[in-house]
Amino acid sequence: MSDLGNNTGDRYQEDPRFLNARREAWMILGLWLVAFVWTVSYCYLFGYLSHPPSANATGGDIARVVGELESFNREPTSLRMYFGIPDWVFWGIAVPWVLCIAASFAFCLLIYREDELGDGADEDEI
Amino acid sequence: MSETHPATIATFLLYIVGVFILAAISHKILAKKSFMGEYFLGSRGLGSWALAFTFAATSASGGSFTGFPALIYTHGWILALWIASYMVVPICTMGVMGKRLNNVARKTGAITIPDVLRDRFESTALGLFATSTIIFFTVCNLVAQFKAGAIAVETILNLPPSWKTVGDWISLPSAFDSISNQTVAYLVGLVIFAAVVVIYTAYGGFRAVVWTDVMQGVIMGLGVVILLPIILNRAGGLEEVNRKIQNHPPLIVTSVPQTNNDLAFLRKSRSRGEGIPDGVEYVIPEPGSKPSVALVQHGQKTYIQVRLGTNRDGEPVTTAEEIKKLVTRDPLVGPLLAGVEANEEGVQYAYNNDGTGVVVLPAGKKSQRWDFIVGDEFLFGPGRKADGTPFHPLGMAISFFFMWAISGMGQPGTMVRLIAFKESRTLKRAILTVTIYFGLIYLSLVMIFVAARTLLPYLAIPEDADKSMALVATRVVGDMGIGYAMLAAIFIAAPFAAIMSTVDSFLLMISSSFVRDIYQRTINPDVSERAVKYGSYATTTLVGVIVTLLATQRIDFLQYIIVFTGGGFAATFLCPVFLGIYWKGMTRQGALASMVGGFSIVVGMFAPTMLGGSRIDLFGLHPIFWGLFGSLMLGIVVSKLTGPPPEHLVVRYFYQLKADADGS
Repeated sequence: MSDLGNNTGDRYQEDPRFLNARREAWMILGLWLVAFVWTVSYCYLFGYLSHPPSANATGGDIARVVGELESFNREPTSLRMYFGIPDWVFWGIAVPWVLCIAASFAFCLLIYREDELGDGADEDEI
Repeated sequence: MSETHPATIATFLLYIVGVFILAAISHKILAKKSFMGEYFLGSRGLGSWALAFTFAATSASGGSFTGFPALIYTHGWILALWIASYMVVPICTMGVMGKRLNNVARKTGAITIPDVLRDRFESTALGLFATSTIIFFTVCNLVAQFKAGAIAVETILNLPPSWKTVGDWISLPSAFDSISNQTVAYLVGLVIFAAVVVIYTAYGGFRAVVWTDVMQGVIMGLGVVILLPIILNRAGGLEEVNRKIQNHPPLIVTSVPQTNNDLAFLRKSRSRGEGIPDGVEYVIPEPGSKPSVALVQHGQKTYIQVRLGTNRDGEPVTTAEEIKKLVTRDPLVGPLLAGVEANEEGVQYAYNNDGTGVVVLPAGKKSQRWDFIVGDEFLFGPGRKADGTPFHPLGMAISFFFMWAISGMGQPGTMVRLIAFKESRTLKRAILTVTIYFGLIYLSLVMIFVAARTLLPYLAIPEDADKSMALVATRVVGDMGIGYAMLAAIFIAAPFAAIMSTVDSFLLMISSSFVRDIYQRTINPDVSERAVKYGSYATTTLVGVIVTLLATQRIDFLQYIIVFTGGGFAATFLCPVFLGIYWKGMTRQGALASMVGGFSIVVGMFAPTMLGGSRIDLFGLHPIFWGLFGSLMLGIVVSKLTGPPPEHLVVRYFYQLKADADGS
């Protein structure tokens, strides 16, 4: 490997446990990003009565960058409910929440590698 | 106010007995193991259930569990967005670093997070900076947590405030004035709380702490799951709840600084506009004034102005009942309102059992305004604070998604649990357990406390977070029989249990900082097992005693430090640890820059609050976002400039011998 000097580089290879863990870390951060974009943008667009900038923001507010979004201001009487949950909470939070639980299971059961972690663990379990 | 049900006290005592039994068993196990690894890390033997619940308890009590119900009650459904990132919190906080961090820690036998950093970069300075940060934040937090714990015990046992102050019982020298001024009930609460938590933590170590978390987590989870159908049933179903909230007249609850003086103002019109009041303003006029009421304009908004009557010292003397009469009989203001309800003794929404009410005007202020909150605002974003500003604007929605999931990864208290689990499979099962656990409780809590709005419509704005949870429990289910009283007791004891599970891990963390990071690793590596043992017991106990003494004092600056503990920890620890374990190119200087930089950014952006200003939310984003961003950039840039890192470290942490597949 180019990271190591020639001499050591010949005798060593990258630790597969490190490579597995890194790959899994990237995938989880990807899941976080998808959940973040879905939930925050859906709720902001469809669940907010108005889209005011923050009162305490310093140096301009991120809400101004996004714009006033007046056409998205929510009309309270248009509220629909699914199982008593307001529509925007249902599609913006409850549904992705269930999907994230499913994704967590898929990740743990299909992708996660059960690598050896090294010595030092106790025989007994807490 | 409400009597404490005997079942509450019984449940509380049972809980404490349970904790002591767990500590005793842990202590027995402790005698058989290598002391330090067991006392601070449970001998790296955490199983799936233990890891799952200690993780859930530690991350949930990071500010969310006790304050959360009160926020839901106050702002409604928007709290579902506030907490939404918990959908990915388990997999993020445990999955991103867990396996790798555990593996890295084992390479050198590290048992604390400063240990891991010190070994990874072979830098004592880095380890000591990490340790100092932990000690600084932890001590400040412990003092505040002990205070909250004392109040929780006082509430549960319903210790009579009529016991007066210490000074009325015994006279102490004037040097102890701050103790003399405390109420006896508070001190009794403090001593009970401190004794319980210090004894079981010091005696049982990490294993006792973890087992206590498991017990607490299981009980709380069951409590929430059982409470949900009961509350929804009482409220007539979730859909009915939303309709009721939406159609309720616009409302504000305020209070005047007299005993039992909460007031609920109900506006007649649901719409806003010309001539319709936007809120209520209280004014304390010059000394010796008579009370009066009027409509006033502030900018585009109209307020009902209530000028309180004052005595010759300028203190307000008007009672809630007088304000109610004045306002409803006023020919101009009266017709605009659907009613004003005053809290008299025994009225349902009187929630403060010490009778003080929410203090109406902050010290030194002559007037304060509240805006009416229309029912719709409980069902949609962004919610509104009492002063009329949006509760959860876009910048905060983004920041909170960061805060729980990303900065949650960077808490030393949770990271240390990641180096304590036994094998890869343990982590996998724990992630799944916590995923289901959070999925069950968080949305349920939102539904329960939204429904609570219709069951207990006029609680004064519950700044004092824990009480709305206890009240829902006592008022709604407490009167339904003994089984329900036990259920109520769980929720009354919940703040206590949550505080306890934060305190015990903090106590151990600080004790490990002194014994392991500072003494054994820096001053005297050859310290004997026996000395370590008694040193650890003594340090844990001593820290507990010092914190107890500090908790009898008024220390005003503490609150400013506590609010940025979570952010400060994340900005200090997340990037150095994350980059350190995943990036070969990270250098010692890069790690130090990342650590000091992140810490400084968060502290700097919070600093104005100490001078009475407000936190700097650059572009509307929370300081934690900028702290993490700065820490990441500094870590990468400085490492690039100072690299490459020593080859032996890269080999030790990222490579293995080709011939030997199992590594060195």
